[in-house]
Amino acid sequence: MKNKEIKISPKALNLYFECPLCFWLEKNRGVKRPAPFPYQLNTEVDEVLKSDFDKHRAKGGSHPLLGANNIPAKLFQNQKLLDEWRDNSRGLCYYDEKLKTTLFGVVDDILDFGDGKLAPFDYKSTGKSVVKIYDRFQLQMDVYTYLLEKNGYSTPRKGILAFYVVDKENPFEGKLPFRKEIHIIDTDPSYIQKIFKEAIEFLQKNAPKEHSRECIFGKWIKLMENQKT
Amino acid sequence: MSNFYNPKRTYSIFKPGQVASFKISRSKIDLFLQCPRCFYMDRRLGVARPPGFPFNLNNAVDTLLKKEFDIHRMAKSAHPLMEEYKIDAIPFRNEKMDDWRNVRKGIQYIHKPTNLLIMGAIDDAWINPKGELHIVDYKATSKNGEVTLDAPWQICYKRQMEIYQWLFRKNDFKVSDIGYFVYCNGKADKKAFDKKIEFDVKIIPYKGKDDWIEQTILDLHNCLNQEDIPEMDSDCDYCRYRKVAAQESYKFLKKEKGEE
Repeated sequence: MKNKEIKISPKALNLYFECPLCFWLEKNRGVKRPAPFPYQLNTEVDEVLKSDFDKHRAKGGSHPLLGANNIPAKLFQNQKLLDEWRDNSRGLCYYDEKLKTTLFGVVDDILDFGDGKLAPFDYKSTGKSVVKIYDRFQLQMDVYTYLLEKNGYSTPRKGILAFYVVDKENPFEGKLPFRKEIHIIDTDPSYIQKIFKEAIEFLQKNAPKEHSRECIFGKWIKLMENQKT
Repeated sequence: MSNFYNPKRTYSIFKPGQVASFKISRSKIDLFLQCPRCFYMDRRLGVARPPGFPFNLNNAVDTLLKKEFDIHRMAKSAHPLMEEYKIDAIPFRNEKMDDWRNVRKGIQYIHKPTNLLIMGAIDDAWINPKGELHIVDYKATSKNGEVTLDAPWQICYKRQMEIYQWLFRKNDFKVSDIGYFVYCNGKADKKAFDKKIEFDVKIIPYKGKDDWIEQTILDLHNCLNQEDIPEMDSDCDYCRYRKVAAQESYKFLKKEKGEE
């Protein structure tokens, strides 16, 4: 197994939880589930937010959104390092010598709580009316916390999610208006090493015979095969 | 994701010889053209492709645009964009507009030779002084440069427009060949965010040609009636994925058996 080429992201760990066989096929054989159309508008919101936060970062790092929500932190000041952590081809990385594999995450932003304490800060945009914190958001924040700690930073064990929710009350007039909702969640990096190791060791074994019971692709494949008699 | 996927449906399944008309939405016509196998599995055998996450932000743009055009519909006035693009029309006012926009209802037509109930939900329709309808579809994206209809994958947008035009003609409306895409492009310039994404809104006229639809419905109906599962389309991402995933698993099972 050429582990050096394998990089594991929170999304991959999520897939491992969802369906080990799908994870195995993707990482070992490059067989990926069919991709949906790209979510261009969400990507655009992320881009616009990044540049907005970068402007405040350059001016000392306070931001009205943080003040309004009583978050005692400023935007992480090291723009160069943040740009590296934001880069899809690099990211915030941790190379595990024993597993010979990299765990990485591509962050949106980082908050500095003082005394060298850093916390992941992620933007989420949605057109739904109600904000939901999915399990995968929790996993993502737990992994980022783990990665920050492995990179020698201390953390307040928090993840900050900034939801941008479309305000659908008014006509369009060329703009998509958002209301903002901040959620702070507790993070727990203590189990990440274990599942990271488990996932890597899993990849070195033979493929499981079946998709997990919850895997919608597995259910679909099975039904498609069964119809073919 | 899995909580809104029912892998084996027991409703909306076509049974050869059925007396009741069978509903086919314009997106299923598109599915048939993309991959007859996926279409057949879905509508004949009840096994649909797994869904992705919904496009919430795009849906939100559609909702807001509808509100915006409704103001002019009520006022019987042209929208400034129509004036800007010199389109001599106003939003069409009709008691059925809400139904036409409703994905569960839409505009419908029973195609007599096949007894298929063809339906599609529109975003909007405008009417010109000659009493002709222009079918309108809203699109939202974010990309650098101009939005166009030139990319090969956008054929599905063109077909969509043409099916709507055909449906309105079959419902005895006078329909112009010219339909409009109200195309919203989220601006990539990085001004202060200030709680909103700004869009460049462009109207792209498209001259529809609905002459392919009749034959396609007949082909689709034949497909539904056949007993053998049709071949996959060679470009179908879903079928290709399934094939490769099955091959990889098969190789493994064979290897394991060989080792025993």
